Amino acid sequence: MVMKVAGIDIGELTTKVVILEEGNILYHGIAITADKAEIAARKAIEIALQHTNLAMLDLSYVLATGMTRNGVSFANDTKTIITCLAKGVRRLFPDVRTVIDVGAESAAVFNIDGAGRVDSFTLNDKCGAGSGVFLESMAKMLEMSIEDMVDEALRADKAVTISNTCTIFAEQEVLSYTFAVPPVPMAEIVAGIHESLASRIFGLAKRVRIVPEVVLCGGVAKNRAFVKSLNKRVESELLVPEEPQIISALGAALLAAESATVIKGN
Amino acid sequence: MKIDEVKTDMWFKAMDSWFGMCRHMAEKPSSSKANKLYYELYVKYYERLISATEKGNIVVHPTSVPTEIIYAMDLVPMLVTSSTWQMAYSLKMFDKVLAIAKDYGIMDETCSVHRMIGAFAFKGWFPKPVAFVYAAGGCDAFCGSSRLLSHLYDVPTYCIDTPYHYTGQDIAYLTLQLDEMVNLLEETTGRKMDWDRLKESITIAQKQMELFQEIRELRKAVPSPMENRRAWQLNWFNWIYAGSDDGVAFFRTLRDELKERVEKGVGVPGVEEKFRLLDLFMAPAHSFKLLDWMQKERGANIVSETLIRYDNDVVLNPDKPLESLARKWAGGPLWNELQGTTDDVVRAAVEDAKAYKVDGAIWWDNNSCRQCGCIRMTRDGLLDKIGIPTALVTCDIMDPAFTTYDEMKDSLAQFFELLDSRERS
Repeated sequence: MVMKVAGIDIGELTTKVVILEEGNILYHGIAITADKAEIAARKAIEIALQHTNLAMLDLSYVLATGMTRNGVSFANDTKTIITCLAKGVRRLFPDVRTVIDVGAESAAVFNIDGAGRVDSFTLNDKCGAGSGVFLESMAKMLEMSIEDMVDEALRADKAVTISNTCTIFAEQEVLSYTFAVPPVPMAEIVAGIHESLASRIFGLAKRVRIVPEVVLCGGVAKNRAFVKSLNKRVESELLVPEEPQIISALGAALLAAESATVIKGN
Repeated sequence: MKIDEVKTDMWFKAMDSWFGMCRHMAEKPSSSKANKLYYELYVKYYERLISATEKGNIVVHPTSVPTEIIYAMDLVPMLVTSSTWQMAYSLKMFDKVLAIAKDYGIMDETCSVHRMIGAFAFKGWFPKPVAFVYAAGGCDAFCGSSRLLSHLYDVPTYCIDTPYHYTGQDIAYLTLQLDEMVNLLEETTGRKMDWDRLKESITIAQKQMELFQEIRELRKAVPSPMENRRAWQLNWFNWIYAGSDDGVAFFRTLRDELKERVEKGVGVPGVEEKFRLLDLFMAPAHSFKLLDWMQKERGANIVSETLIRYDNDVVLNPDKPLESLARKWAGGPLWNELQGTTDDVVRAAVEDAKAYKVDGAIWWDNNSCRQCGCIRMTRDGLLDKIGIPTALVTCDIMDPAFTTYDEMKDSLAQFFELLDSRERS
């Protein structure tokens, strides 16, 4: 029988699922986390099963990750997000040494040594200004979509400086630019917003080491303006996976496959 | 601004609750001899403070003042940090006290220890002392909070100016500073230093220090015999029972208990040692149960604390009591690491990591503590020199709302997985 396993990452805003069949990705998907961990995970896995025409019983092993991972009753095991990210990133980028993960409401940076072992990590879950929610809140205030904000920022030749480190105060600062006389071009304001987030993430990354290859993942890695801003600071080229949001779910699935193989072997 | 009146009701209320908790802990059937004695002595310490509150002979100090001097003048030292924590803990009012500090304009950017001290002082909840003494080095925020206390309570204060390094000349300077402290206390309290009593306490302090070192040695055993939270108990008693027979009794009881475990080749009851960890900074005072969790649930034994150690060359001479205290201070817990260069911190961390055969280190990244600025150097030092990874646990020493218990637990869980994977590879 062909072995299928699943990895689930329950994030603050979205729940990600990856199903592997004999080590290959059979499915990956993202669902909104609108409920408690158990319900969010069930909803996400049901969607995955529908897409793949599988039943729960077809999955040999399910591994959950994310802050609320312990609330998923149908998971065979749980692992922390760093372990899963490391596994997932290494699968795609075997020579990775630094991983920067910027999610909706948290960020993490860690180093991986040549043997694939994580040796340092640092987290930011204290401050919205250091995660995706910062961009969301700015977009909302400026009544722009994130996509428009990105396009606008990429057009800018220069960026305003947003010196406040707090999202709330930064909003006031952005407002002061929008009403400035003479007006500040919107492109420069939104470029400044991306620079501000990149600067905070870079500061977080400096708490560990930035050693190439550097991989950027998490939902914010899809934001091209942010990637550009961060790339200016990081000396080596930032590598961004095609689906940066699913890396921890992929790692969880890979770990699930390892555990399932051990069980099968026994 | 001065406080209108000293309102010790809260202080006594906290004592009642604290005594109840201590007695409960001491009487628990599972409580070891050392544990019982610890709680009994903690009660004794506060009973003495209550009696001193009535007599009016309290000297308030942080963990930077040789209390042997205060005892030898027949005064009663009150360790402001542990008293603050104990009051907030007993009355379950961490949030309330921090809110009071904010009401009085003490910014959140200030370390929560000092915010709490400020709140208690503004409210007049501490008993009125005859003097405040503190040191400028290490945690220099004490310069602010101690002066605030002194100002609000309108009592004299003395600041021990501390040298940055501890060469012979620096020790001479520190000795002179302690001498001046004695003069100030004599002037302000009208009491005279009993030099014979001080010499006697130096002899006891030497014994206490030797026991302290023995305990540290015993923790090198595999499995390590000591409970994670015990080191901080040792630290507090090293200050509040400095140079006293009670202090020696506790240290000896604990030493005997650990020695027995080591001789039998057993560790802490109910703990299967999986990881040996080096503690690089202060764990959050409100969540010491986290130390129990990591030990009991994850087999993570903290085997050494770089902040709670004596340099090997510290020897006390009763004939030179103040100089001895200067040496003890400079080479002893907290201040040998908090004062001086980060290179020294890295050196101590690497030495301990090797000697205690640790698998990893933990830095409790305390919000608003400037000492946490050197994390990167220490972490890189441990990793580059001996391949030891360090967990960085974001927390606040007194504010449980800053990082929740579950968040800290998750941070540690990530680290234990990291150690697990290193062990496997």
